[in-house]
Amino acid sequence: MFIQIALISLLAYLGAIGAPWILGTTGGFYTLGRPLVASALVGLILGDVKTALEVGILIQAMYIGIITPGAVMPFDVDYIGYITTALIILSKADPSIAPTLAVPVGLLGVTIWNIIWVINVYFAHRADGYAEKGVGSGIKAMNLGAQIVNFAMRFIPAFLILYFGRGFLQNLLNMIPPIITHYLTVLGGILPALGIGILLNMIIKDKSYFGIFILGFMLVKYLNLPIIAIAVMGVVLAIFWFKFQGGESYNG
Amino acid sequence: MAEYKKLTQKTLFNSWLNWFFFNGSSQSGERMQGIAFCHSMLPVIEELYKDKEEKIKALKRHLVLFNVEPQIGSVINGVTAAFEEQRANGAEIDDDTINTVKVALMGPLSGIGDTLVPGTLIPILLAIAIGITKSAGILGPVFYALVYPIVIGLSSWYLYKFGYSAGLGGIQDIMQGGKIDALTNALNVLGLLVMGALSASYINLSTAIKYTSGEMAIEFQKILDNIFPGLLSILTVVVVWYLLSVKKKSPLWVMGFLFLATFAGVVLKIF
Repeated sequence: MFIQIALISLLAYLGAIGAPWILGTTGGFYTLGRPLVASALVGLILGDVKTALEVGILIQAMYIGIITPGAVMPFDVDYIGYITTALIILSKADPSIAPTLAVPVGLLGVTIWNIIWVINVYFAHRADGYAEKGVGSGIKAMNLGAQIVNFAMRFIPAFLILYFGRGFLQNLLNMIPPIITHYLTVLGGILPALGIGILLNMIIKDKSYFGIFILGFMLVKYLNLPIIAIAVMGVVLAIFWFKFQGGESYNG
Repeated sequence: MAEYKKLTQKTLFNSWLNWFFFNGSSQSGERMQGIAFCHSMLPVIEELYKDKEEKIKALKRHLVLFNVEPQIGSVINGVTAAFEEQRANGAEIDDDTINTVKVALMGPLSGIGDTLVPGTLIPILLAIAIGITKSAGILGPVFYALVYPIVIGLSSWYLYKFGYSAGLGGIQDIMQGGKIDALTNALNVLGLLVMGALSASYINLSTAIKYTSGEMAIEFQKILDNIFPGLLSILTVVVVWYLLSVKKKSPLWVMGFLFLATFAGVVLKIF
């Protein structure tokens, strides 16, 4: 189990914001750091892909709209993806508590990020020194050097939580009274509204656009259409939208 | 007149590659992506400035605060490389001009970039990936992990080259031409439709309120389902959106509110 947990903690570092090694922010934070991708990897490592993906779908839906403008994160989706999924599988907990478990994990990730954000000022000042001397390689070394901090701050807490936390969580879950279990289940159904709400707040500039959101909602509730069918309809609609908003000259 | 120093394709590619991989590496509260920006300019500076004093000045001017949505923002690195090339060839461009250009592009490109990439493209691809996961398991995450980095990787390099060849004027023409707005709005339509569909599957709230009279029991949820299926779920979204956009509450505040409101609802046996 030591090796599996170490591997998951390593991935939690590689998918963390700022980790450059897997195609930068694009392949790292925005790919490895997405809960759906993270949960699949955790599932493969721990040998339970089915449960992992159940968790992954739940927490991915919840945090689908999380953006980091100016690197201010409300919740750390990378830690949420790896640690929540691993804890659920390791302590054999029910996937429905994942959205709730994700909350403290996500806040821990943000706290870590805020600390890194301050420590990295050190590298900026060292880089200034290299610039004074005209040493370009020193600036490169400082940009990369910050990864030592990032690795330590991501790998170590993840490893400790998974290594010592799994038994603790199991005992905790056994002690929970039924009303709290019911509460956590209801909460798990509500929390995805937060991620969606954050996204709506960001992309809706004209309130009439909310109608399109309701339309998408109804296509599932009334017609049970699969999401891919709805995405294709959306593409068709978007092309016309683009044309009628004066974008048509783009095609000549 | 001396021969015009033109940056090679290899230098431009290396500059972009430094940015693509290491744009977030040493982010800090003080400089944000400043060191990463200078790291990205290193191949350009090494090729253009053989004079030590000029090189030191160039390194220092790119270590200042910089912050942009990094994937779309590569266009700024391209524009800056073009400016540095002109400066090295004797054009009247001082430090202030170059930094003014960077600052002027940072804001609008972050706005566009955050809306288009984490705000629209990522949620749409993830929503589709979730759909695939439900029917085909691990193929869902595989789909996302292949499509997203390829699309963004190619776009980011294309935008760098575009910034380099079009320069500041070219970028401003596009940003002011209304096409970006039309594109953003069109993608928002797609995004909203898909998010609505996703909400229907993943937000679940139903009421446990029952009215019992003798042998007759009326479940309130059944009445609601006849009016509009998923009414409580969509109302939850509206409340969250209202708190965030109109009341200007933070996501964390809203989360706290949901925890308490749900608790009250469960204790009062509403949910």
